[in-house]
Amino acid sequence: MRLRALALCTLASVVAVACSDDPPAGTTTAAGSTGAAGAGGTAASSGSGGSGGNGGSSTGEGGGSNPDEKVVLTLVSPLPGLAFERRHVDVDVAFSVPEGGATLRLALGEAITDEQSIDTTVTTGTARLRLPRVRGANVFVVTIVSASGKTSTVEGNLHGGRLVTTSIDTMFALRDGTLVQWGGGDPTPAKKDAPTALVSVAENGDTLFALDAEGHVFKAPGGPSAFEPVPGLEDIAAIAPGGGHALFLRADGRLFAAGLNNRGQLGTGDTESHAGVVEVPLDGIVAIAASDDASFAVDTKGLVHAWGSNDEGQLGLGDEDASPHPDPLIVPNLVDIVDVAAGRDHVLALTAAGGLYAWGLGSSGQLGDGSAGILASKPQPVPLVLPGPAIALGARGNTSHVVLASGEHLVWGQNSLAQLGVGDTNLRTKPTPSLLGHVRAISAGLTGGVAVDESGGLQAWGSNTSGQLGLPLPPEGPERSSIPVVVPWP
Amino acid sequence: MAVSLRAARRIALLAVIPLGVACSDEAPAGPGGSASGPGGAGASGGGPGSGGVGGAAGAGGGLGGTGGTGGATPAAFEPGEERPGGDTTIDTRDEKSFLRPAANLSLERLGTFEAGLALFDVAWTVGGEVDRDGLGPTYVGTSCRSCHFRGGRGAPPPPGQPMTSMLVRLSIPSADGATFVPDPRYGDQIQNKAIPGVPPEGWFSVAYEAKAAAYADGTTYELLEPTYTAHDLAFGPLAEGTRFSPRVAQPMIGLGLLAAIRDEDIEALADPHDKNGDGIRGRRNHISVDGKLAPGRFGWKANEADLARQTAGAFLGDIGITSPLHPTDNCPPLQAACAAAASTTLDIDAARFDAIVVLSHLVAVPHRPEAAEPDVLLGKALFSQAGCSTCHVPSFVTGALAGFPEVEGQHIYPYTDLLLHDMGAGLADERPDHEAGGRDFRTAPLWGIGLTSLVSGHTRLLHDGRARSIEEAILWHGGEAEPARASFRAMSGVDRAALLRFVSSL
Repeated sequence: MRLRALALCTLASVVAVACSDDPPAGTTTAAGSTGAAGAGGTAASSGSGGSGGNGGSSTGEGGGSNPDEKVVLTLVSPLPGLAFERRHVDVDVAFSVPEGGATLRLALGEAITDEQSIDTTVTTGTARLRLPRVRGANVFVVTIVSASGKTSTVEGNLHGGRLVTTSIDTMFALRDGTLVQWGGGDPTPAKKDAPTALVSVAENGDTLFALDAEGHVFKAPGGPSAFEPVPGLEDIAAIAPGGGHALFLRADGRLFAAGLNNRGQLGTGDTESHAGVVEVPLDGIVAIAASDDASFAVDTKGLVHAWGSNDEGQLGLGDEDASPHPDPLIVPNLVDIVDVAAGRDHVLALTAAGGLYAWGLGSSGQLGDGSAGILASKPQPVPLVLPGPAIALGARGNTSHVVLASGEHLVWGQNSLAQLGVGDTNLRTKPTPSLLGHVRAISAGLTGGVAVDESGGLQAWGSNTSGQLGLPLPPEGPERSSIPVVVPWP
Repeated sequence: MAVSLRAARRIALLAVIPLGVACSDEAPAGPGGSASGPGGAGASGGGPGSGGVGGAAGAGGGLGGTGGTGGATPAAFEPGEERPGGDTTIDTRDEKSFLRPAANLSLERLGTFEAGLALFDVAWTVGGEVDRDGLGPTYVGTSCRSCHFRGGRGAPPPPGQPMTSMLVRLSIPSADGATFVPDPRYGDQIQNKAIPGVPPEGWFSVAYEAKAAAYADGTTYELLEPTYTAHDLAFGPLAEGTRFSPRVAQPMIGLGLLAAIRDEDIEALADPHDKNGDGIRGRRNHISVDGKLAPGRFGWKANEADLARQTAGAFLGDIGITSPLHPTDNCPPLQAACAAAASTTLDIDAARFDAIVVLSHLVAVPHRPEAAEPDVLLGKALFSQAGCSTCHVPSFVTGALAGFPEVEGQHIYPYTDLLLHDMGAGLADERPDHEAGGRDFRTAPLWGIGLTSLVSGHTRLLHDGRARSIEEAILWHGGEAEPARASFRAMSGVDRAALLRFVSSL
């Protein structure tokens, strides 16, 4: 067997040499004469001598068109348990089918959410299927059916919603729909009185928002003991709190907003106060974010809409200005966007291919383009250099982070209070690996951060002045830790 | 004088044709059977370079002689063309490559350049901050980088939205109808923003109509034809017969080198009456400078004589910053609120203004790592054969420029003749600008064009950004450039790809 593979490789390399000397027509004939089965011939005719060699050796191992040959399906992304706030998550799989051609299906529960045909000339490759995720746990199954009816399945899961959030002095986390809180003067994590079956929590400085599995929104203006329903909202899929306003994305792609409107951040075309919830005149929205006083929404076409304050260039229009922008504008020259995140005055956008753009305030290195200081702001999107494709992103205060498809967690921006969890308090102007390793959910940026790690445990870093790290208050405990600390679930 | 120089170059070209043939024998076989050779165009397209570099450039031009065979042969690689800015060329080619200092600056010069860079990036404000006070009263952007983001090219806004990195110049018919003059209400440019208490003049949106067409081989393409609509005009509707000219911001690279191209080398390329009968005229614009007419060299219509004036004009017209060259704010006669809010002192002093003028002269040109690739050289030959290089003249040797020894004596490859050409009705804005007519535009330099996407985040080209790619920009060429466009449209797909590959490699 090994000898045969070697012989095929040698033959393939001869073919490659011949190919470069002879007219292209010779290639197919030469590959055919090696006696390799159908798969090898296909590969050689479609590519260079090198790919012909690959085709040959895989055929050799499979023993020709052996009916026992396996259909192989692997889940590439997302890694298990990752939390997503955007409505659509791309599921990437790698496949191999012996005879070429197949159908791929993605199912969430009973419903098939996406289906793709693989061309009969293709035997191996990758495919992307779209998962319109639901609130809370999403267990999905990808099935491949080969042309001859052989099947293989792979299962994955993710969480729809935000599992952790931080205020200036308090940490919040969800486990099995229950709210857990620590910090705020009490370092011991404890379950709190809150609505049941929560899937998402988000904090905006003085208000804690929570979303339950039914899509109801609750808010607690003074702390989690006083949750009250927010009227006028139903079937909400995601919440994005800004400085004094919040956006609410409904599962059907319609968008609502409430709170301060002095900079036009509600998107209603004016800067008047509006009591209660108003609808933003956009539809087909799949992802949202709110900075201190501006708002951002990604639509199904991959465009980013922005409105509100532009005093730091956070609307990405190419310039900063002091005027309110109460009508949603499209960020120029930005396409194929699938998700967006916003800190105090800066914005991150994720492309379908896993690339990242940043714009807005850049003084603390939060744009990640290598700059910091008073001239570092960028009023239009700049692409960032990442070591691999990103699949999730976040921003808070003057910090930014992404999770790569590989699971790696990268951070950058302000770090004076150890907000980044990189082992020191130096700011980072470029994406830098954090000490967390792989993560499922993160909230970071104001005075520290909290994450659910890949084993489901809690880790916290940054300031401990109110017990945010689950450690005794100073002076008994540390003022802060730049290294993530394990916090026990109650 | 001009004619005799041009004729001399012709003779030089003829002399090197045997060299071109020799090259084609050794060169790797081109894509076979592309019967697109535009034949005679090869000869007229082969004139890259001014007299000073004729010998080196001639080898590329000589290849035009093989046009009769119908196939294209890669042009010769000219040592030096991979460093298009000469000694100013930098080896980095990334998203920041349009604002890097020239490679041959002294430390002292670098300091001034960096100061200029800070002024380039800073957002001007209204009151409060002494070192950056003076924005407006009306303006288009708050900083240089608002339009020249990262030193790059501007682009039109999404449909229905205000412009951010482009502007609209306008004029109205004079009382006697003989010429066009600034509008007494709006001046010669729309400022779409204003400081508090002053009305912005209004703004233009752009909408596009797709026009389908096809290459000779049947491949279809679509061009976007823009139409502009004025909104929120603060001083009444535009006058009957108003002409307007939308213009995107231009890249900042190599401008000092363009300033150092000798006037006589530009004049030698001019042929306003087409005495050589090649259909390409080429003439200079002239602007009044200190009471005398001076040739124009910068701007989409060669409407500025030098970089100090270009910079001062942009400061005033686009940001509302007064400077030693333009000490009075730009408030048209009928804008009282603007006049009441105008500066009484210079917003930028001579030292700071000089720093940004130094910056504008000394931004490096990025190198061309792929200049010697066979497909790039094939595209180079096709570029020449199609006649593109008649106006997009590949190379010059620069002369002296007072105060800028760094740019003197450099063998550069800007791909422009800095002359005005009639670009046809399709591109025309019908707004005269000094001696430039409504169809006239200056040949745009092509160096760095392949970095547009990386630097500026878009691929929009031409004076109003209507072209979405280099290919579309070529297809919009008309007027004097119509034969070159026709050559391109007649090419095979393989040849078109090679030509585009060459232009992208610049």
